[in-house]
Amino acid sequence: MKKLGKFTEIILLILLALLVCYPIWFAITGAFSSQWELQENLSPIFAKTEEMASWTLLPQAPTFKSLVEVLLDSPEFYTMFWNSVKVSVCILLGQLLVDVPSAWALAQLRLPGRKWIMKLYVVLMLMPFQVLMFPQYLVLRQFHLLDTPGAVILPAIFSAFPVFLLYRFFKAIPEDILEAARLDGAGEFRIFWQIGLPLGLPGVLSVGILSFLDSWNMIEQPMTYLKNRALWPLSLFLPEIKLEDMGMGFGAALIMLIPALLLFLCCRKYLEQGITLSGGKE
Amino acid sequence: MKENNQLIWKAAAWFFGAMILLTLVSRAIYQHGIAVVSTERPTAGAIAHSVQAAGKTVQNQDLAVTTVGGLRVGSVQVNEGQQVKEGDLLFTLDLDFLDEAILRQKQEMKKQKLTISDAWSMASASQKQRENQKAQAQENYDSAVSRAETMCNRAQRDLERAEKALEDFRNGAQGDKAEEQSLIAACEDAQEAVNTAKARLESLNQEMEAEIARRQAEAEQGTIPPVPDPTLPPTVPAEPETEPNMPETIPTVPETSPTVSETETPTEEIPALPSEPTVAPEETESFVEPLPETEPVLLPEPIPSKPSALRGFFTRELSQAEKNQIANAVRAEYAIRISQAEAQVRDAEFTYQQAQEELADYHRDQQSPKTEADLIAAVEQAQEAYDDAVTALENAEIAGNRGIQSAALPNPTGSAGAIGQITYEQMELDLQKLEALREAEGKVLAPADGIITESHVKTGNMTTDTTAMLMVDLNKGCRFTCQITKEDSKYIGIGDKVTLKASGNGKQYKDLPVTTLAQSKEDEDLYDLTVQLPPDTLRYGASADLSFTKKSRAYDCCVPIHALHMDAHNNAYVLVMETTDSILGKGLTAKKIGVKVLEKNNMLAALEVGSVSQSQQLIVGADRFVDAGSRVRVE
Repeated sequence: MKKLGKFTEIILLILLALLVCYPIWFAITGAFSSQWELQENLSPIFAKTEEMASWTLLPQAPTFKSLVEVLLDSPEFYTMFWNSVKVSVCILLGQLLVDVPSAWALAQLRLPGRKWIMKLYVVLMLMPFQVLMFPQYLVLRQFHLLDTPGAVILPAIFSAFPVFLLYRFFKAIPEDILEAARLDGAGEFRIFWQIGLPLGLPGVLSVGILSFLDSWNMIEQPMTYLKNRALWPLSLFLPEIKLEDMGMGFGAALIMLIPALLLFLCCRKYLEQGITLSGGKE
Repeated sequence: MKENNQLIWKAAAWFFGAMILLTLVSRAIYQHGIAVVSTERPTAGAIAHSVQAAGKTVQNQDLAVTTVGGLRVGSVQVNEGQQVKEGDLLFTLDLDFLDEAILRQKQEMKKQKLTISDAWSMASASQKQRENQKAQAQENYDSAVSRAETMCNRAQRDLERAEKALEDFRNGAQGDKAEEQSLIAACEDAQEAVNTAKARLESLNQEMEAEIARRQAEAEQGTIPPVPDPTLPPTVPAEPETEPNMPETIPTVPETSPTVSETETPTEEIPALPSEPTVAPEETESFVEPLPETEPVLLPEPIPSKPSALRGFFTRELSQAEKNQIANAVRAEYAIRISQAEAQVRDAEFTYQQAQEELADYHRDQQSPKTEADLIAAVEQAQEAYDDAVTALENAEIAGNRGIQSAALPNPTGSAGAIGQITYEQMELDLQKLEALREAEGKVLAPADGIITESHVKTGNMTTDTTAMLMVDLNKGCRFTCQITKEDSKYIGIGDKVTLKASGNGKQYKDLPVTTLAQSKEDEDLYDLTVQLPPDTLRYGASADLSFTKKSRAYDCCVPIHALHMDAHNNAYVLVMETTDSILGKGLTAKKIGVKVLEKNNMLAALEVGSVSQSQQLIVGADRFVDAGSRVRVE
């Protein structure tokens, strides 16, 4: 009976895994499908008829044409790709530079009103982008940052979620270790640099992975704050695709998946820790 | 785990390295696909229309050198293309052949002269014949009517006699001696009339024979020409049907009376018939009067202007044909009178026969005893006979009238004589030309200064009636001709001053006005243009290039013609460069702007103001096809 339950659990998990992986398979097969096949399968979506779109598990006429077209014949794709890389790296570095010390300070330093600040962070973190969009827009315009990369990078650097996540990691460091360092004559910066960071490195990496994925996939912020199409990230490449370029869209989606997939495979352990810790209570 | 991480990091490195490389390749491909264009800005200015055409000079007038056809060419002294002066010898005719031609022409003229004489004789005889027919018709009418009247009178008398016999039978009376005596007297009168008519006929025949003899004698003595000379206008009648040579005093023959002469029995001695009027003495006198001897009936008078030339024909002995001709002419004159006399003889014999029949009937009636019924039947029969006689009289009158009307119809006009006269005059002109050529010793000279363009004579060949040589008359000058396109014809017109550049020496002749400009008959898309050349400019046959430039009014927006394009609906547009924002950054693209072309030539096009500003860069050239939206870069 116990074996039967275990088997059922495995089957259920496999089905769930297939369900989750199906979009990836969808992107892969689409990238190798011919344009006419994509148009035939997906035309009901654009034609707005009651007929349902269809999809085959394997392409009927596999071709590399869409991928070649994306890789060799679409300089716009690379512009947006490198824009995404630039935005993501800048956000990542900015968060390391700003959010890690902030979280350390809130977690370990005995500052007045730190609890209230932390509560404010939590409130801000709970607010969706649609609520913050207009105030952010006004602030960015006041600082003449609209239609610049800073309009996307700076709000992400100073977002509440990384601080909240790192706060949890740093708070988990035992107080005794820090007290011993102080008794040995170590300063606060040295304690942070030599004790806090190494001990909170899984949290920092976890925050980095999450921030990278978030910034790699961001759509609303660049669409709202960037009018100059030359600054658009790769996440806005797909909305530009029409039915006639559907093959290119799938090819771009496949390529867009690769950096995030690599990063996930590399730092999967830290990502799990981060997600686990972010679910805990203060 | 650590090796796995290294592999992932290595894959990431490869990935980003490949992306960098592909970025460069993609950029390179993209840049290679961008059209490199050349641009210009619109300018203000005028559109100059230049008309260029090549042509040559041609003559204003040709001269045709002609000569009499049918002559042999002795020698030709000039060739085609040779320039000659007025009076230069062109070619010479064979003099022997020319002499023969003159002789032949003279002989032909003589033959024509004789032909004309015959034609006029035939016309005169025809006229006489027609008059005879008219007289014959009248005579037939008279004779028929007279015969019918006699029958009618006789029927009337028979009817009266039958009625009287019936009346006498009813009254018991027997015959009437007075009637018998009157019938006998009528019979005797008719016998007398027959004798008189026969005597008259005999007299006329004798008179005619005497006239023939007299005419032939006069003809032999040369007093009367046998045929008229057709070459002399006075002797040739202008209208043959009027017969001016006919004597005006030809006596008319009395229609209803027998002809009598002065020597014959006086009229009072002839027993008078009830239906025949008495002939007046003066009428008989004029009738028997002989025809005037100095006025021939058919032949014209001798020509006073050439008496010596014609008298040679008249002094010779008359041939048998000529004698017959004279005899026929006289018989034709007497034909009417003789036929009338013969008709009178027939009428008199008929009257005499009727009188005898009436007398015999009377005697037969008196001898045979008749009943009343027979007499009544005889009256009825006489009444029917009378009615038939009246009807016959009416029919005779109608038939006679028709005959007279038919004979009075005019004859078709005989124009053979007039035509022959015209032919003779033409031959005379030809003879004059031949004689003129003979006087010039057969030489044909150039009528003016010119260039021989065509020669249709060859040594030894015969000349024709058409042009022997065609030459350009240099005294009349030359003109320049060329053809221009229909498009060019819009910009040049009559009176416009053009420049001609000679092909040989390159010399230019400016301000020469266009003389004519008209659509070519051979090709509707071309126009023929001529420029009258003043003296001492281009010579005949020279080639030259015409040039003419016409400037339009000033336009604010002129673009190079290469910047102008036409779409599928034949609408004009230009492509301008426009800076656009794209994912790749700011770039240049081609933008299509529809324009209205006001005027254009092969270099510029004037556009309507407002369609393109002078600050815009017009794409005037590209290294590949450029359309609206194409990414471009300036070379």
